[in-house]
Amino acid sequence: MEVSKNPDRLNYSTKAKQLLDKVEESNYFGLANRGGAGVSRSEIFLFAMAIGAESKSPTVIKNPYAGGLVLEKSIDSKTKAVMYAQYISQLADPENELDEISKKGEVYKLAEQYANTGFECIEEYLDKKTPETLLFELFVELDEQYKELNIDKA
Amino acid sequence: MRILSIDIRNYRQYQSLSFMFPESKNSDIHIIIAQNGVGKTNLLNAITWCLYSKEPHLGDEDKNRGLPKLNLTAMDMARAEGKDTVMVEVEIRAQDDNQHLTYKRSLPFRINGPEPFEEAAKEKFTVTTATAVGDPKVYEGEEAKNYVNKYMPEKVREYFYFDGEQLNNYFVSARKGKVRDAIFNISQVDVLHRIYERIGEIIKDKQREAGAKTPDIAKITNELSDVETQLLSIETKIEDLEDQIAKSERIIKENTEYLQGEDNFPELEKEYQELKAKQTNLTNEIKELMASMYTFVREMKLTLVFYEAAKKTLAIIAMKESENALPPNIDKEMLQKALKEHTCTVCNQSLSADGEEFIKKLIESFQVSSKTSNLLMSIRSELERIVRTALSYPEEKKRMKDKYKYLTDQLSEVGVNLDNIDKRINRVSNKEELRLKHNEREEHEELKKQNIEKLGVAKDQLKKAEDRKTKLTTDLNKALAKDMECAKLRQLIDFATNGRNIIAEVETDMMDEVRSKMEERTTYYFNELIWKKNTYDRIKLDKDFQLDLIHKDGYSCVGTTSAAERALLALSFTLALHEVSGFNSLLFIDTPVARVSDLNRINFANVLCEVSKNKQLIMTFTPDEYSPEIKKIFDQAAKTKVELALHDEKITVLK
Repeated sequence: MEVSKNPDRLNYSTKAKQLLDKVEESNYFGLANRGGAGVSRSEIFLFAMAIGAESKSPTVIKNPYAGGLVLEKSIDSKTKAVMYAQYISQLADPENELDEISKKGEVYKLAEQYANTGFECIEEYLDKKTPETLLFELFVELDEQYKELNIDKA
Repeated sequence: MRILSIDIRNYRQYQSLSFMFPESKNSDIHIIIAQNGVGKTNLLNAITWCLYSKEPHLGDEDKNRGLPKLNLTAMDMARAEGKDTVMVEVEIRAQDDNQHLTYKRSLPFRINGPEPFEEAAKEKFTVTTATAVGDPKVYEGEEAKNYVNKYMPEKVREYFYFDGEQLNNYFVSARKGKVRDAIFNISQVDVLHRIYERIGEIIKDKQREAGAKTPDIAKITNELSDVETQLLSIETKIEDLEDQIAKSERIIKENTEYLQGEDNFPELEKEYQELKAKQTNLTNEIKELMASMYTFVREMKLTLVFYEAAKKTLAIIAMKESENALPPNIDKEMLQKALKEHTCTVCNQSLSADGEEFIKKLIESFQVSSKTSNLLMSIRSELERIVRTALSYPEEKKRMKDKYKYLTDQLSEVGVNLDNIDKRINRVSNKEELRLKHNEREEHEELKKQNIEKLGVAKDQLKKAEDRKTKLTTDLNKALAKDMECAKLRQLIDFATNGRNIIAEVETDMMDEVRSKMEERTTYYFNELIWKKNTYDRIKLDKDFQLDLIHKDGYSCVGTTSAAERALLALSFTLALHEVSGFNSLLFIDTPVARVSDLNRINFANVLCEVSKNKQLIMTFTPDEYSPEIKKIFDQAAKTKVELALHDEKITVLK
């Protein structure tokens, strides 16, 4: 998939689209969009991106869904901030390569690939775990992450 | 009654003077002639003072000067004799059939001061009666007054003693009613009226007596009937309430037996329903909490995953900021373009070598482009929020988990309770029947409670009604007994009422008769006195005995008659009154012809001569009034005729 220099949306795979259709029906983990009344698509994308980023394995979107997931105008500021921060954090010399973030296409691409990984994980959760199970497993993960990050000592 | 003599001592002009009025068979006219101021009117005052202690005929002069009743010469003489007190006395001797009456009034004056002092408290009035054979009796106070009113009532004195000069005012409106009352008295209809009133008082007394004695049997009977109806109603109500209470008790007993062992079934069911509702609420709360927890975990997942990236980016931004590496306003690309084209992009002027050197240094100082700088600035606040949110994780997580634990524990407890109750309920096979029996028992327990309260009130009402009935029955028995006693009293009241009605009718008849005769005789006397024979038709009296003179042409003309005619009308009326009423007393007229002249005087004299055949007439004249035309008539008819003179301008004496 050719990277657009100035993308106007966040894309996701057709498979991820199908996953979200299922989620929409079951409201798995409270992720249903419900025509905008539930969780926003930008938030869904960010959650998937977080799951994917945690795995540190961005995956290429092989079969992108035409139309994308979130239009540029609907990307909320938090999602946008995280996308750029994540991009900066993996630059080899971020202090001297900051202008790299002006390459919006690259920033979006990385984010989409992490999200793609995340959607894969979510699909697995959906198949294997009840939301409650996922909830308490995630609590355990969060406890560990919090501990590892030494946040309270920061 | 006629006056035999008048003796006056020390009264005004009269130091000591006696008038004798002997009787004659043909005529009883007595003439007294005197100049003005000699004492004619004071003779009239002496009579009214003696009888009523009043001097209504005093002239304005006397009133204004306020001369004492005491004769001043007598006072001087008494002082000269060294006396302290002088007595003013008037004594009137009279006769009525065989009874002799002596009216005497005396009033002492103390004269030892500069002015004579009237000792009013010592004024004394006596009436002495005696028959032909003696047997004198002296009366004082009210008894004495009664003797005066018997023959010459004070109320009607104006019809016995009057001033001729005032005759023309005789029928002024102020006298309305008074005339009727006077006639009432003179014609002695008032005797009947007094009887009428007395009987009325007796009737009232007897009615009061009967009222006190005769209770209202009908009222008591009605009240008794009401109370009996009330009693019946209360008794029925009590029976109903007792039946209802008994019924409730029976149902309560039956249902209690039925529910024995399952007594608390409805409570159990109620508790079950409440727990079910609580379970639903808890489930919903947990559901809502789960939704919040999903949101929280998602939020915290991305927060902690991107925490390091965010923190790192913020650190870089902070470092670049501290190095002033972030261009505030000038675009790095724009500077590079200016160098490349050797032209200033702002003013479009060619750049000098120095200028280009300056721009090169500036570009070197700016490590990032403006675009990058703007991007960094735009994400900065969100990244800061992520870092802050990460800090709140443990606390928020604890709050949510605690709440979750609390709710799930509750739900679990509710579940256990529900299971237990469900097991107990399920043991009961006839749930619906039990529910109905229980509810019915509850309803009847409440109903019984209410009915017992109502029964208490009703029994209290019954007791009061019974007491009232007992009292009313006693009252009725007493009333019936008294009713017998009152029968005679009622007969007496009926009799008295009938009698009083008859008296009232007789009274009315008498007054009508008196009025009719009065009209006739007044007309007669007026026609005799007046010289006009073809002007007036008759005299009419209304119910108040107000006089009206009817002209020959039929209209009323009393208001347009002359003063002389009005005086003659008054005289006619008085003469008619004396005649019709049969009141046998004298007539004293002071200056009777003051306003009458010529032919009328002759008529006047003739009429009075005729009247004097049956009535004593005493008349006073001035020498001028006693004109030749009446002198001729009266001199022949008069039994006595005296002329008075004033001695030394102080004392009235017989001439």
